[in-house]
Amino acid sequence: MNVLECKNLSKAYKKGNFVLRDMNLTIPAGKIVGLLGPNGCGKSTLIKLICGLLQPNEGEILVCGEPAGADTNSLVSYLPERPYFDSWMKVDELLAYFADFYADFDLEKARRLLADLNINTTAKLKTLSKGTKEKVQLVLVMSRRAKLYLLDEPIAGVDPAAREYILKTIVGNYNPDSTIIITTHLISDIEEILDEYYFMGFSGVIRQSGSVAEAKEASGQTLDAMFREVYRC
Amino acid sequence: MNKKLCLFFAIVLALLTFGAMAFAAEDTGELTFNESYNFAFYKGNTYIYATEADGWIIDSSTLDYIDSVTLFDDLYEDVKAIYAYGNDEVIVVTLSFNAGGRVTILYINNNDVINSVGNGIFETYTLIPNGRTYVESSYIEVPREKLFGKKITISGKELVQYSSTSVSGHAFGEIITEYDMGKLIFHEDGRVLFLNYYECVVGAGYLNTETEIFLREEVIVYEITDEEILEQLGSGKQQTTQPVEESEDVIVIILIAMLALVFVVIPLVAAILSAVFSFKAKKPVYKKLFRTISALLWASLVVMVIAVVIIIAVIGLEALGF
Amino acid sequence: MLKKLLRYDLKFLFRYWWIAAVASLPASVMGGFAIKLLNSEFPTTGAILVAVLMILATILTIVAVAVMPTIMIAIRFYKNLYSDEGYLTFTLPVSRANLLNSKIISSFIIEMASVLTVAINVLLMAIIAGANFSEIFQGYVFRVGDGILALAFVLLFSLLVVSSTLLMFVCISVGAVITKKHKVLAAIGIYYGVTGFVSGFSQLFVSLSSGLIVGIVLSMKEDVRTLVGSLMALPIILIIAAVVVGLYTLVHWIMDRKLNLS
Repeated sequence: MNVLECKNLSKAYKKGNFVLRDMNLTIPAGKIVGLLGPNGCGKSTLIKLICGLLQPNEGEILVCGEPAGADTNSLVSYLPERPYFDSWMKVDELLAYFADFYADFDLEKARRLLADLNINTTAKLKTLSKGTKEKVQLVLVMSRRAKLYLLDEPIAGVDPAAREYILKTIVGNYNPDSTIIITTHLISDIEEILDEYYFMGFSGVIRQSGSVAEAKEASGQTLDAMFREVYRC
Repeated sequence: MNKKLCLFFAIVLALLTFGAMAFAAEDTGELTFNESYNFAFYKGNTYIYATEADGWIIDSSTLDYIDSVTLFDDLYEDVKAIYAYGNDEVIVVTLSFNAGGRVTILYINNNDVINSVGNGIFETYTLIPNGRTYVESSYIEVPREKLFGKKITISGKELVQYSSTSVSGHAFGEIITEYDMGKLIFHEDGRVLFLNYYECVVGAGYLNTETEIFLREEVIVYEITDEEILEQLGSGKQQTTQPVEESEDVIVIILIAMLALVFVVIPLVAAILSAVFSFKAKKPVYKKLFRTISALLWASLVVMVIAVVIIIAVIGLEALGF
Repeated sequence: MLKKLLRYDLKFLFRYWWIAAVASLPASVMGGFAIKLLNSEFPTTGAILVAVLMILATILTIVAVAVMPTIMIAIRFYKNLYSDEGYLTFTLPVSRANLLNSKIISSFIIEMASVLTVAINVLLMAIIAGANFSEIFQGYVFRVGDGILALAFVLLFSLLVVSSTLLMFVCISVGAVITKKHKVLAAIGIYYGVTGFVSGFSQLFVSLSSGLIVGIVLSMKEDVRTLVGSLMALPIILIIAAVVVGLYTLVHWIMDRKLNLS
């Protein structure tokens, strides 16, 4: 079964100004997918539509065959660009929060991962550094046994060492039956872990897509180089 | 040097003394009376006994203090203090008795007597209209002749059952402010009767004790005939409700329009729109919500109509006497 | 899921309020004694000063208890839904309706708790200051009509509390949607605009009608007056209920169709 299907998907923030227009996309299960494209091409918009943060003007989105909404949120684990928790909460409270609302949340795994990072779970989130906060967020997201993981710019604005950790965590903890969709600009950092790629153009047009390994072999280039070529100004 | 200084001081002292004597020697006048105390004499003027003025508010600022008062011996030995004030118009004498109690007597200059004492010597009267209370300060002032309409007699027993308000009199402008002169009685047949304490009961002189007045068979009252005064005073019918304020027609129309807008027009339009939206809505949650809004508004309109019908019916039946 | 949402919402709302509520009780006791002192025969100047300060502190505490809930409700609604926290809240496996219901129910609970606490405080102060309740309620006999009236009043009051909360939610939601920056200012502006318009309309109505209506009401007999009051109460309650549902629909629609966290 396809984990994600977008059929004739259109979204406009202002009348006539379509960010996504008639987009069609199908992503199978069990893949780590890179959704790559220039700023403003609609990557984040698509992610938000899948999570139910936005409603499409036209078309539909199916997550594991069901229309995207409150019900499919239990199948989707979303990591936004920015921290999204109440900074007055303690790490423990955040863990309890996730455990409360997500039946697929693995509390033990989360504690283990946080312990590996030497993060004090009794600490208030506002006392943690930006990088640590992002790691905590990642741990929470990856500790869910979701069908679809949406990671929106997971390594942007993070130091190289932390980047490595994040990528390691992603790869080391995801369910092989699940799909991870990663949006990013930092293609060179991420291409090693990707199974498939989608080069997204403006209005949600898919300019190029396929298996990363096959594309690299065929072109003899890195995915990063291919990206630069496709989106040459 | 010392001698000159002493002389200087002596002259100053002398001048002061003479000055004081001169002041003291000024003739403040002596107040005397005739034997029956009907007349008082002061500075060459003759004053006639007006009334006992106990309880009056007298502004003595325009009156001179009279320190030389001569009473007849028999009265004098009973009196422990005398205060007298006067001017060309009035003399006010207050006597405090050894046995306790005191009396204040008013004498007026013979030349200023307008009418005989029995009919009042006061220029204007302050009346309190029917239905009002003393503390509301809604007085009307009338000249004295307007109170003395048609003179009639009526039994005290009949008078006592009607509502009344007070009448106070003003005399001599600023000297005497006001005091209780009589009563205004509001007869149930709509007449307003003035009861003058000076002549309400034949031969009794000044009488203001209600019990004494209303026990009498015959009480003298004056029926007020002046239309203007009657209108201001209000009729004899007891009013327990406030009259409806007369509003201009325009305001009434605006009010009705506002009420109709809030309770009829807007709910009706909203009910119709909600019904339309509930049909057009795609999501079940919105269908339900709009249907609920529509139902509540229709219910409010129906209940309002029923309520208005019932209220009109009840008021109508009440007006018909059921 | 609603219960879980409710738990977290209530936790947030009561987090600081309960401190004020608990502190208000001894403050009211002190206030009561202060009033008693002021009413006593010959209080000294020093005693008067202390008493006045105590009463001031008590009043401030009670005002905090009364006002804090509204502020906390607004903060919770905005933060939880329209700030970065919204990314977490709206991606929970809960419906928009449940999110909204949880906010409304938790707000209602804290508002009622606040009303109750203020009432207890005032009562406490009155008892300690020496108010004679037997005198106040002398000769009062409870009738069934009073019970029905009380119920109607409680219903109306509850609807008004919910409607004012929902109005606040509408203003915050509209403010968040129409502006990218200054969302809070926009919300406050809309709120005062709407309430200003409504109160202006009401004031106009009252000023035009007061004499006329007082005259009409006073000219009715007692039983007719009661009948009119009871009959007109029901349509008013129904209209307010419709307004509540209308506001709910609006907020739900904004959260559902117009959400744009960025």
